[in-house]
Amino acid sequence: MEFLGYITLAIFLGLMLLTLFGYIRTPVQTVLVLSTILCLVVGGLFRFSAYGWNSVALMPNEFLGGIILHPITALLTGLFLAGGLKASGGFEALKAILGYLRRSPIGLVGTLVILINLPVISSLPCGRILAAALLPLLFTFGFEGGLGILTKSQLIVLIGAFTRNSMGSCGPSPIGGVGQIAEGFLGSFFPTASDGILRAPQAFALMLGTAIVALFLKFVSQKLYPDDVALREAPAGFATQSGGTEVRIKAPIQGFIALAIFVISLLIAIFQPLGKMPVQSVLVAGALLMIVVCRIRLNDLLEGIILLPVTAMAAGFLAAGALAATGGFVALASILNSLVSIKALGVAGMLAIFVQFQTILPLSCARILTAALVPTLYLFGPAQFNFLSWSQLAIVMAAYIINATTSCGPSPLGGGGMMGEGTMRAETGFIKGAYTFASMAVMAPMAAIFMKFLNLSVFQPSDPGFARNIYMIGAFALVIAGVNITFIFLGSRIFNPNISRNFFVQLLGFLFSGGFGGGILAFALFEMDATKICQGVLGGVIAAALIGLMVPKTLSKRLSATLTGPML
Amino acid sequence: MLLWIIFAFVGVLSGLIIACALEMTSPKELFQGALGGLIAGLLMSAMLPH
Repeated sequence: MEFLGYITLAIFLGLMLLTLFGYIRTPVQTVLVLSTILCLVVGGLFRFSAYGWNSVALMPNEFLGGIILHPITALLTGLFLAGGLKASGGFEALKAILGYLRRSPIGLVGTLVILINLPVISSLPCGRILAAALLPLLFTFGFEGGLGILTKSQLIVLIGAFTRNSMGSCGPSPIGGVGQIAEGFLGSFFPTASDGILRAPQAFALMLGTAIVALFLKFVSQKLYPDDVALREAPAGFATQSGGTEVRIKAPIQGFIALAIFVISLLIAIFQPLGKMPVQSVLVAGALLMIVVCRIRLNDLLEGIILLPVTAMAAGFLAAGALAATGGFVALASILNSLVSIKALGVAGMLAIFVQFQTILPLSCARILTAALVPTLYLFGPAQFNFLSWSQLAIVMAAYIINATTSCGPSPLGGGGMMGEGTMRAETGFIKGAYTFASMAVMAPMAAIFMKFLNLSVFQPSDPGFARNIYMIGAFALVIAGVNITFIFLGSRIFNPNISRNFFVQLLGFLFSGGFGGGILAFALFEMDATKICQGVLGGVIAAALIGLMVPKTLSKRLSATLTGPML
Repeated sequence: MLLWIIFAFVGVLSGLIIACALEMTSPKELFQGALGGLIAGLLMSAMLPH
């Protein structure tokens, strides 16, 4: 059976890598279904020859038992409600509110900061919903969009940071978010885990990580790929010519009502003030209210359903179910277990690599691999291998989930970050360095620290062993931000026209930051154990090397050549 | 209460960093960035289970 597990795991990982590197050019969901079928066929044949027909007959139950319906239905109802918001002009109302904010004392920059963080605050089940609605608005801030308030460089930072925040906001979402997959597992020990034990660590890490992405885009990406964004600067005197006039965004009254219904539904779903009820029921009730009050059609709501995350999640669960039924997870756990036996790595080093797994292998939707790998991570806890206690498992889960959630951003397989690249007219891969750097070096360690020093005690207040120390969280936030900002500034000063040298400098920055992040994760798990911290640093460096080497050295000059060449 | 404070803190910190990345570094703009971040942090905290 163990041998079968290695075969099915090889099939799964092989197909994923072939897709990632572009050797298989079909949607990743199709590849996952293919992987599922292959694993089941191989598993069926193996079981039939080894254990007979009865063993094969048990497979369907084992396979389907791994499919968790709650996040799928929550995601569907979340998208359903968002569809209503879109149809009734809710996003226009949001734009109008942002317009008012801009004219308030918080000014342009304060409004932009809120706008960039709006996705994580609203926590929709898929970042693509808000990104699709608001990216065109962000584009208008530039010269080509009409307003001409921001320069090209500022617009790149704004769009890149907003998209980063969007493509991580599905993690802490209470309505079918990626984090709910792991919260279900943590519910084995923390009775109220499903209330959102992973939400605050993810949100905290994402807010800080988004800011670091903004800085990385400004000081690193724009220097590494100076000719790969086709946005144009405003010609001199543009603001004077246009008279600086600004078009006020008007929204229908139904839009404001729909926005209010949406926010109230979200708050009821999160805080359950009317008693315990399924999130899905609240969202469907909200959507029905929108139909009645805002006079929208059922079709409008259905149009809001984006199939990619839904099918990605379903395909991920199918692949995970096939791996579970054929021993694939046990094989993966055995491989990772063997990493533990390497003295230089140990448990801390192995976990420092594991939490970065989805950034190393970024797919179009984080749910695909999360559904497959969270069960493996769960096995490291008291449930099987006992490497970690329940509290340590929660800390690793926090780090893993934010890293996983944000992995759809830099994915070249139709990842959400491509929406941002499209809006800023950048070549594919422009944002990859910034996104992977922040996920690896800032978000994963920060989420672990937050879980250790605050959230464990929030969800298990009866345990006096859990620390509640926001000074430590604040200090770590400052140190993590400070160290990474220093690396970004240093890197930007060293860059020169030599592409290979720049790539090496960037890789070096990844290695240092990865090692630093791995050390912090080890500290969060094992405290002041010097050996474990060194092992964490080594694991972090290995993961950073795998991530840093995947960042493109140079982007295609096809777009700029087209725009400046004789064809134009 | 702790959750409000820590999210207000990270909001201000991220607001300042974003303002710098947007090349808006006059004292007034930094203050506005921090204020925007503070509002974002408090809104985020309001959405979380305490």
